[in-house]
Amino acid sequence: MGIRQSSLCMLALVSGVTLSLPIQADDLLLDDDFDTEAIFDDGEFSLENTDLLLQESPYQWLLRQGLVLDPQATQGPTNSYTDLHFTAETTLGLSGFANLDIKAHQDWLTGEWDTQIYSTAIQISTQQGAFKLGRYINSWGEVEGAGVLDIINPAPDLTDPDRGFKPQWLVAYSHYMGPREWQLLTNLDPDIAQFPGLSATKQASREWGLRYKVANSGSDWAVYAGQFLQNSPTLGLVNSLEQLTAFEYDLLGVSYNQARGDNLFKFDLAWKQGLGQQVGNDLTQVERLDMALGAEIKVGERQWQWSLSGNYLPKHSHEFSSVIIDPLTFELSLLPSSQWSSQYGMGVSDSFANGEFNWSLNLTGALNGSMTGLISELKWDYNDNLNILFTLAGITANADSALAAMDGLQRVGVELEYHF
Amino acid sequence: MTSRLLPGLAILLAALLAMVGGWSSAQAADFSAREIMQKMDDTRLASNESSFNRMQLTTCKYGVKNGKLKCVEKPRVKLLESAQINLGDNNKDTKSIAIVLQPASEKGIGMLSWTYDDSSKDNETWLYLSALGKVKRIAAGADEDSEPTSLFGSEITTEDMETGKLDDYIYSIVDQGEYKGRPVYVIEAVATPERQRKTRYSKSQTWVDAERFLALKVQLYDKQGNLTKRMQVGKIEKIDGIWVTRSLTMFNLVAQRLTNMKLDGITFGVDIDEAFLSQRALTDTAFREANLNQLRAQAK
Repeated sequence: MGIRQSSLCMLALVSGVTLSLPIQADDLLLDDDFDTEAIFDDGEFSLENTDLLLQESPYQWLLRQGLVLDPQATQGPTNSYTDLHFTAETTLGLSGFANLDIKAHQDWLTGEWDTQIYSTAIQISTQQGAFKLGRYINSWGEVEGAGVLDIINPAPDLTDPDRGFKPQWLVAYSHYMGPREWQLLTNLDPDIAQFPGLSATKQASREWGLRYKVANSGSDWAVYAGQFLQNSPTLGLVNSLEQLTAFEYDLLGVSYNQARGDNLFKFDLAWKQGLGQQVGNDLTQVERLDMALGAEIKVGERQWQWSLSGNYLPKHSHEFSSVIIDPLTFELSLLPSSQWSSQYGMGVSDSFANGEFNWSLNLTGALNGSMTGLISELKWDYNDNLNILFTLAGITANADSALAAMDGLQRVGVELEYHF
Repeated sequence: MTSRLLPGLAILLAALLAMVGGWSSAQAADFSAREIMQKMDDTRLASNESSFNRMQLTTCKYGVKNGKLKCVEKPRVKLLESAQINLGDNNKDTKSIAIVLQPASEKGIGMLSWTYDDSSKDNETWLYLSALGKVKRIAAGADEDSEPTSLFGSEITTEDMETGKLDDYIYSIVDQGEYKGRPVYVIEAVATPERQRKTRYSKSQTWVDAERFLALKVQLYDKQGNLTKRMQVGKIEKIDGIWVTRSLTMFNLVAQRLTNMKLDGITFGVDIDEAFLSQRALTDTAFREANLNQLRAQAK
């Protein structure tokens, strides 16, 4: 023990004896507080003031300016856009509510200008039930992004600047019975993903689904049934001609979550009958079991997310194959597909500078190593009105994988978002 | 992890959200530390049967200049409405909901919390995530290493909002005298070994008004015994015979950030349907607004 440490120990010992243990009354009652009245005037906050504050904003605007670059390219940006959202909402009578979000989109590279109702809804609620009609997002399942039960709203593709799920035209009725809820919904015009240069056939023009959900202490579970259209159509080769079809399939599913301490564990399982599959020279419909396990682990302020998902083809044969596009020649060819396919997802998110900056890093890929995608984001909340998002994304894919055409893709993006 | 909040702070904040007081003529002289804390909890429960309020959260990084406390950056201000009721055995469990009104970018975000007096039962929290169109359960359990969930980005956490669970602490009166002109007892709460594994704090000290049984100040210490957080009550009013804490400030002494919480339009004894304090209120906007409008009408 050094001299300095010894002296400190002696000093502490003497102090302990002479000042007495444990806590001095005078110390505790000493007014060492901060003077908060100097900065917070208690009289300035009143009901009238806050009422006024609320009346000032019956509608809002959101301006989003984005720029996406390919770091491997020497030319200009790969995407440059401006989005302007106008949102408004109002109550309707005693038990109704309506909201509207109109989006104007300007693509500065192509010169395209587009205006659409991005989302809207009219809700009417009764004592135990609620109708909701409009274009909106309604998520099912627990493991976000796994595609097992989050099937109502198509997910964006990897290069889509709009990173959220796509709102759909839905009519839903929910019936509430304490911790239990029934939900019946129909999709009036289901969207499907677009393939450049190919037009897809929709096998159905409607979707419907039923969910029964129960919230228990520490966990929730739900069961699902319905008929849906594939969000991503299946590409097939029939008599050497490409065929792109979004098939209608039946679904039975179950989901479950369980909180354990500061961690959340999630599970989705779905039996799907009628999905598109290349079998021999035919594009036909088959059965498939989809499942996903997920976990959200909190360590300090850092949140880790893990997921493992898989697809199982119970009636698999050697004739099952996938159609892939050659990234150089764009020619189609058949690749034998396995009975099992599985994917993983790993993500971590955190913040610094007292929450002013939020960052995330997400890695996803196939367990057999045929594809890996990395997306990282840094969001700077400059103030309540303005935030800036920086993104970095990259994909590697084997030549014999379904995403071979995207191998080597890299993107760097920046997006400013201003609320007013 | 979650951390559950040391009870002094929990009770204080709960008291703020609801109200406090009622024991104006009582004297604490003959009470033990545990009895004083129990009275605080009882007072809160008795007077917090149903409450609805509007609150403002102001958060900033602070500095002290010429002896004056100042925000050294532009404060972030959030306006919320919240409602809560007590339920369960002896009305010691609480269901509450808080919904953001301002700023516009966060309008409509809601947080539903069910807190249980029973120490063996983890409290539950749900958030509505509009980008996903779903209600998401927030795991806020009990690990000492994790940070509790912040209340809408403020220095106040979900742990700070917890109530009850008095059996998880050992209390002692470590001082008594006068604080800001009020007779007080300083109660120290040390977590039991079981609780030690579920909280990030080693102890708390609560300045309890000996007549009103309100917490006027709370100090929280980390596992190394360092003072990390301090809560100070700013303004107290007697409304309809009930002492109400109208403002308090939470100081994070490590990050040098503070959150000032002010209550506005607080109303007690309002008629709140238990069904409103459910996940439905997070997703069914028409239902939520209808209930909020009823509560606002009662609050006028």
